[in-house]
Amino acid sequence: MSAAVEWRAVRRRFGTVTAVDEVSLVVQAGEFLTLLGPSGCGKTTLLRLAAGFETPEAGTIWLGGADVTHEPPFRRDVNQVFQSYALFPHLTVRDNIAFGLRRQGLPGAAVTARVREAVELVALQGCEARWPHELSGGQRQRVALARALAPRPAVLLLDEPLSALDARLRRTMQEELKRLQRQVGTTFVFVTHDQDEAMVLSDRIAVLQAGRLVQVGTGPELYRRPATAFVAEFLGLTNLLPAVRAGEGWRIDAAVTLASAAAGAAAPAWISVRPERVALAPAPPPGPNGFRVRVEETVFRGALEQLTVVTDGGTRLLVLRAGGCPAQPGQLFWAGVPPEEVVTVGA
Amino acid sequence: MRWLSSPRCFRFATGSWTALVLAFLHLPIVVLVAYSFNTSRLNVRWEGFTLRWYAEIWSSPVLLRAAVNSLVVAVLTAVISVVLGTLGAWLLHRHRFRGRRWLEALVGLPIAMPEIILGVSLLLLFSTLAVPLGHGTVVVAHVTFCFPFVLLTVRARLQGLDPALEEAALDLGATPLRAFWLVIAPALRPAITAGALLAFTLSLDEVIVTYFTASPGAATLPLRIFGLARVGLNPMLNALSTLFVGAAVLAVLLARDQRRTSSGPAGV
Repeated sequence: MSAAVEWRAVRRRFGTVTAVDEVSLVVQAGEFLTLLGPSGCGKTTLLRLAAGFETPEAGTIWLGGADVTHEPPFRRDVNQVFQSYALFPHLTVRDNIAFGLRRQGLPGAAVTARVREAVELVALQGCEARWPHELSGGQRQRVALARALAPRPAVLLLDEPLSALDARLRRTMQEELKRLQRQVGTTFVFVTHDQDEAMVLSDRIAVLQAGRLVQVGTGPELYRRPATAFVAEFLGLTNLLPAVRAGEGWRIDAAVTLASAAAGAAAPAWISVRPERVALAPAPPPGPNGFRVRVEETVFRGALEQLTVVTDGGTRLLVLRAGGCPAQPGQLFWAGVPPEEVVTVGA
Repeated sequence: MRWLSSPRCFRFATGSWTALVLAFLHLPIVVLVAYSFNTSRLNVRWEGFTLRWYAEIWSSPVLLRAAVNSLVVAVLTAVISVVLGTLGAWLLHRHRFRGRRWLEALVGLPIAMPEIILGVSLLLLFSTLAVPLGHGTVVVAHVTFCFPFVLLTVRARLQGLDPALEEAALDLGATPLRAFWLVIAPALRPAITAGALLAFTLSLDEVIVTYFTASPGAATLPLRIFGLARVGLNPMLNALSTLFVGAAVLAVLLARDQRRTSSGPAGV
């Protein structure tokens, strides 16, 4: 595997705001990598640095092993799908898709063939002669994809391309994007603030916070072993508890001390326990990490039941479990957490 | 008094008020047009229909010359204003530089400046530089107050344009120049056409600035009409004015049409 895109110690400021701060990241060829973070975390700036719309104040940008830091966008072998789609309103679907091919100086017959190929790829047959304003949101999205893919770039950059679609269409387009990426084998760098979307689509996810890269890894890695409290909270629901080292375990409150499988630091830290990893039973569990809880509140969430429980020491915990016989407020349970599900995280 | 607040009565009242305002605005023009077809030399009594005054214009070399002058000046003014205005709008929109705000304010100044001051100052400039008055000086003078209109029209359109459009063009391999030509210019076309028609119309019926900057040979039609009117009213003037009103109405309608299409497909 070789690097398709690489940011090396890149920094970019806007006025007094540092949008991207000393970020180093490598995207492997053929990979689907997602830049994930809340708005203003620098993910879009990172993408624009790769496209060439921004120049870094420090650091370098590499594409396919070449330093392109000072190359203009029209000389970079990357294409972008814009959040607003940015379809050319005065050109038909066909001419929009052909735009990049014509700039490459391909002969007319080759352009026609490649446009047909791109149209088939995104299943837009029959729409070639339509104008952008005659298309639905989903169709515009497909045209934007076809237009960016037609010149066969080494890397496709996608800036929150699904954010303007409704939830159902979004699901469909997510599946389609994934299929498309496997089919063409192009490196995809995808920007989103939606952790669910990131999990569904990506081979790897890079989590950004306030311009800094916090953690890179596969979805399961980030979910099970978040490096910081921010990552733990950003990806899915979690119980983030301040903990103090107590012998072999971590003391949560006066009544509960949890053993953790991870060696962990000796310093005070946070521990993260996913709500679906807390088991509730009428009797004490066999292993370690068993403690008594009282149900405070229950919320019906369809397939799952969401409970807020309180330990004897007064700590509130969120618990998710498969719906079945619903629990009642005030009911007492024994809670059990396997030591490998007790994760220590940095601040 | 209940009938006063009935919708029918209200419609009647607003309708007649509108008619009155329109009559006040346009009745003089209607009278002017009507009398251009009057056989009488006097503008006070209707005697019969004739096209004589139009024929008289056609046989007057001075007026014909002036008409040609007007057209040449208006066309040149429109073309130069479009080039300057569009480029200016693009620079102001696209680039951030020191003094940009000042420049923007200055650009609008010729619109607000009294024409007489503009005329006098230009005459001063030309005589200081010893530039002989002629067609050239008239065109320069007209461009100074016409191109801001093009600039402002195009600027407004640019502000409504998705900045990602240019980036998409660059991203797909177009150089900045090609991106402007292939993507930005087509998107601006309605604004450019509207601005050009506006500049053309403004130049065509301008009197005061032209008065200061034209040589006798370069006098435009409005200047000649002004000269004739000082000697006395004459049905030939009515005929000339009718032609002018016709041209102006046509240009305004075309410009409005352009603005309408600009909010259509290209506005998506």
